[in-house]
Amino acid sequence: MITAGIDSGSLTTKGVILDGGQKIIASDIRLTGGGSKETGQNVWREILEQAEVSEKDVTYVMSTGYGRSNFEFADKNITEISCHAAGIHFLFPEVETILDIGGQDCKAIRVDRLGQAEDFVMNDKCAAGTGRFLEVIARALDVRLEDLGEISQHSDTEVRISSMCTVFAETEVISLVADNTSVPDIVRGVHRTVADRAVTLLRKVGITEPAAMSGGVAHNTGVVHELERQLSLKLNIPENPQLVGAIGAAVLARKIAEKR
Amino acid sequence: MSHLTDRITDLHRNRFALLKEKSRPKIGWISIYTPEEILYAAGLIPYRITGETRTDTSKAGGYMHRNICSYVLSCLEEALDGEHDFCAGVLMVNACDGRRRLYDVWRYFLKTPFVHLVDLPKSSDSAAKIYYVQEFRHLINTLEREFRVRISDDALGEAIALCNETRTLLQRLYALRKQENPPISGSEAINIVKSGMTGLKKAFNRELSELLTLLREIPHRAKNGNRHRVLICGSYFDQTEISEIIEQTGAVIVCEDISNGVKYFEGQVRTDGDPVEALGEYYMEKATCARMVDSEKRFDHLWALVQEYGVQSVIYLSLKFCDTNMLDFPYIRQRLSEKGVPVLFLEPERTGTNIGQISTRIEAFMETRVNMF
Repeated sequence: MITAGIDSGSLTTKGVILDGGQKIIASDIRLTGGGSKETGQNVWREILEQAEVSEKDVTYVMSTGYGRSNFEFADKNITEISCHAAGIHFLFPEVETILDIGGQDCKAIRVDRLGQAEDFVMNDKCAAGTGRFLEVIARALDVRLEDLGEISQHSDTEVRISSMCTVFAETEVISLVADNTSVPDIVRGVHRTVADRAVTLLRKVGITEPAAMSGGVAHNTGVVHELERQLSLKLNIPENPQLVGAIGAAVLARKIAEKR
Repeated sequence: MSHLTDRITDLHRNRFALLKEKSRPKIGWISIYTPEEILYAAGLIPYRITGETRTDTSKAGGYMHRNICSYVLSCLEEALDGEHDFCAGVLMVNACDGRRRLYDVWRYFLKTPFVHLVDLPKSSDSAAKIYYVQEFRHLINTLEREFRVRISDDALGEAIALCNETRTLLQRLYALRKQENPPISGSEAINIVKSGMTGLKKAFNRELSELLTLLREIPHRAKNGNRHRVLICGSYFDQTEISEIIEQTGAVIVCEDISNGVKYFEGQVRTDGDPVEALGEYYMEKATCARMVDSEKRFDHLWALVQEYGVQSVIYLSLKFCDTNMLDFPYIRQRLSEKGVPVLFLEPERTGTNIGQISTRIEAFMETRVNMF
């Protein structure tokens, strides 16, 4: 049976095609931009092409993410919380605690042995501690977002960014630049505030090992390192953490199709 | 079928026009600890100020800090826009700091002739009851002087009977929600309770009696039984779009433990003895608001509702910046989880700007409640 998952996130739209509930035969990630509906359709077309299947070969399509209710080709939509739980469970069946940091939100999820979300906490409606926050900081420092992790490894002095607010933190970073603080030190300080906030969320749901991280921010080795240091544990990081929601959607699509 | 409740909820929808048609002086109120009976007995028409016609509260923001809850800010915005100019007075209760500041601003900056504050004690022991009765006697004297009326025991008795009838009818309506197939939705329930607060009590009692008869006669409106039963608890809440999001997940809201719900109409004022004492006792007895000292009493009350209504999950809505409800939450959550009842915490704003995130939280919470595999 072939199933598909589309994750329409605030920043990027992801798609996955799953064959036999086992093998990922196609995947795509692209910027959501101004039209989440259109981007979702483009991702859908792209993964069908990659997998060399037609729409009718796909038994069940599940959509998730902020734009989850926008797609006519989807059979059902489900929240990203359930999808991240199912996606991580598919990749790391033993994991009980998940941290997902995406473009505009951050969530801690406790997952049961079957891969279903048991409890979760989400950040408030602000960009503090999310991917967007890192983007703003990278821009302020004139470095590339994807280089942040590497840059922070060259830090030798600890710098504290006290503000949790994206706008105020940016101001603080600019003041540090004016004070000639080195870019690696600033970046490490920024990673630390992201980790601080995530750890607070994780403590609210309770941390049980093993734990994993999903979402685009899991690409940032600096944030991951800081989290592992604060939590004194090793995080399981998927090969492509941005695809976890879409993988989970495809997994849940199969579960539901099997039950019909 | 969906229009079944329209006639009764029109009382709320058209409240300003309907109230303006009445010649008796109108008094706005903001807390359910307001003794409406005393106002009725004085020949006045008490109605709740809901602030719901304003979501942009930029004018109010010029008088109050932005960390005051959006209920209080939107009430002030309505007043600043002249929406309440028809009223002869407002009766405030110091239910929380936000409402107390609303009293200050209203008294200094608005032209409403009569602005009075009733001081509600924080505890509800016997000393507090004596104090609250004194506050009521002081209110009676003030109203008699201000509106040149005499508030007799007979008039109080009539007003108590009128309000008790409203309570009985609403209790009968809510009893229907204890069934497996509740005949009304969560948003209908809130709108009906709000209609009971518009000061048009006689018309409301008549409409509600008719609605109860209709609900008995018609076949069940609910799609099917076996829906996940949810109770709503928390601050001022009337965002029916949130109630609808909850019910769109397939759940059913069976009870609201809020001021626009059971807290408004539970119990009865006793009709023997001194009426003012009876009123003081009644309002102190139902002291289960988060702003009171006794969280234990509040939890016991909530727990009784959970059992009576067969509740499976609680959704706790603490309006952004409603510190009394926010601070009480960890205790409520701990007690509920000890008893195995899951609870979702939400911090909505009346402006509805965070509705997307609220809806994701509600849907995800409901997904954790059903076995997907």
